[in-house]
Amino acid sequence: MSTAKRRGVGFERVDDVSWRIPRDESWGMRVDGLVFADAALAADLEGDPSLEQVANVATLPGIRGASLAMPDIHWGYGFPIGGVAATDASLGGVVSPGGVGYDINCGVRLLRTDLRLEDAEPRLRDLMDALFARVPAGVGRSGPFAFDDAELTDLLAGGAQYLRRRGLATDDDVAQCEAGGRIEGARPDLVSERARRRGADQCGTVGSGNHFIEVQVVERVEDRRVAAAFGLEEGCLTVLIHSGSRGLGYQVCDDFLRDFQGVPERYGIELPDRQLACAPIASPEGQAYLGAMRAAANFGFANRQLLAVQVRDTFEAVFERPWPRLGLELVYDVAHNIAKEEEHEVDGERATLLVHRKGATRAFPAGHPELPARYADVGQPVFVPGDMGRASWVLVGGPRSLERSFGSTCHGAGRRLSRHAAVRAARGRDLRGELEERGVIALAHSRKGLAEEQPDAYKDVDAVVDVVHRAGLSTRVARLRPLGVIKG
Amino acid sequence: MSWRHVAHTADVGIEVEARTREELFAEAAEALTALLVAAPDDDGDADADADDGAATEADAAAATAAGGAVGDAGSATAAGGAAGDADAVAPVEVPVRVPPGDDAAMLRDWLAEVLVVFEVDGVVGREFPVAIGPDGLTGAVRGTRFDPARHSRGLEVKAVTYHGLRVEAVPGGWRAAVLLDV
Repeated sequence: MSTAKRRGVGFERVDDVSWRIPRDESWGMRVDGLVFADAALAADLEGDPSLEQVANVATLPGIRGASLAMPDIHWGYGFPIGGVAATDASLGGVVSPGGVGYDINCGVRLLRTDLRLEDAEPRLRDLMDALFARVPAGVGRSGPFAFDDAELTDLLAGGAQYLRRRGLATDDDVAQCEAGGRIEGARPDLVSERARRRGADQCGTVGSGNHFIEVQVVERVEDRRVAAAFGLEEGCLTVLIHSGSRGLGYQVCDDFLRDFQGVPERYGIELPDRQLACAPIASPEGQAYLGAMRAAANFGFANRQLLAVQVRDTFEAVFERPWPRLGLELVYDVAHNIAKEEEHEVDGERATLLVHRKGATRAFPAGHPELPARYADVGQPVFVPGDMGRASWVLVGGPRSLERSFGSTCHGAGRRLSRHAAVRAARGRDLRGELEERGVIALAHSRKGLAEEQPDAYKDVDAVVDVVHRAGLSTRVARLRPLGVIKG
Repeated sequence: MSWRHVAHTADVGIEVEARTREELFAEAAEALTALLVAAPDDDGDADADADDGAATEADAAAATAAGGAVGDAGSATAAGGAAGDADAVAPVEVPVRVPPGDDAAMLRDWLAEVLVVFEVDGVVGREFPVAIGPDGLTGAVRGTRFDPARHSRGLEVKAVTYHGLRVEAVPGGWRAAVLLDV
């Protein structure tokens, strides 16, 4: 067993795919930290402040099992990105807005198509140009969908299900979403006026940063049975949408983090980092945050649905066929920044836990009662976007996810370079041209944004996926190769 | 008085030094605004000369002085006011109040307010008067409406975080560090 020490945080190899940060009471840790990584990823983590963040999360009251991190872990604020923490209300467990993040219900959805690459290729550039022209992306862009105050309240309560009532989502669109596209218990009344104003005209917009819409081709199927159940076939086009709850969600998180200052002290909770501010799940403060968070999460589901509507409209225009005839159906929509109440077995007993996933994806295996009927026998689809030059992955909830990670897996490749370092690395280069040489049409509203998100800024998604596959958290179904991407 | 932007794997930090606490707060607001509103060419030239991994005030100022063209057509969307009309250059002042608290909490809350004034009211601040007393902070964002003809959107800053937040008195003045989620 090799041990590396860093500023008091131990880091020991458990097996080929996991590393432990042993519980250290002097640090205030209540449980171990457990990081899923192979030797190479673990070596990269040496000296990384994200490990301290895993240890800090282990200090939260009521945390069960371990403070977990997925192999795409990187330094966040408070929680590491790639972190999973399950807290138990019956043991004084807390909810931490920082354990969800500012972009509440940031997530991904995958649309599949019947279009084969060889048939679609002549119109690919037109398609990307049309997507870029029609789908709002970029900083602060507002969308074509306007909701008045009463409608926004209904949207915050109903998520994608509200859009179905408005004729903007099909039954399948709703059924193929995590939580049916609507998290119960939302409290739109607890979403502040400024959060509403900040996000009201942004439902149906991509945003900036690492958000995108990517057109891809199924390059390789690794699990034929599951791929067939997901409607994926080698050589067919897919569309991956990555966005969240936009300014509304950011503001909900910010409002509650501010309100939570002083709350831990009120409940006698000592924290190593202010950003971990939290409140007991059962407290009025905790319940208020959860109500507002669920409303913002519903906004996130609705946002990705409205993006899908615009993608379908664009495909119809470019391929001159109604979208159902293109088979442009939703495979699934999954959140990777959220806290959900779920039933899990821990320490040999059933417990209702609040699972915080901050840059981690739910990955329930076959047979789980929360899965839509269509996937009951195969497991939940998981989408892991890689960088725009390499690949993204479709995985399926794995056999060991419930026992090892509260039904969670990775959410992306994980950043390797800071945004600034990425911009520096791009200086003097023609990134768009480089991507075109790799067969990717990249359209971004900001060249700097493109530089920040260039392939070199990220870890190798294949390596990250290899770890979660071998750990049994989620297993490989298909590798998707990017053809074109639009970004903010 | 000075500020610089510092790199963080997923986010961006601001480090500020000033002679007084009020100047510190104003400087921090200026540094935040320099991220929100890109210099006319938002494509990396603003920090082309920074060799220590940090964009600096001087770089941003130089880039701002370089001209008035918008960097990328389409990237600039008014956060608020209409483009091109007289309102766009009319001075606007939005008052800001922050309840009393420790210096770090007040700095964070102040910057969070400056962010909201930009995101919701569409006001690009140029001056940030600040007074701090027993009732907390009384200040304002003084500037003009966001105008795509003159401004270009920079980073999408989601929030001003508490992570690594620091305000301290040092010999000869004050120093602060703030991390932004972008």
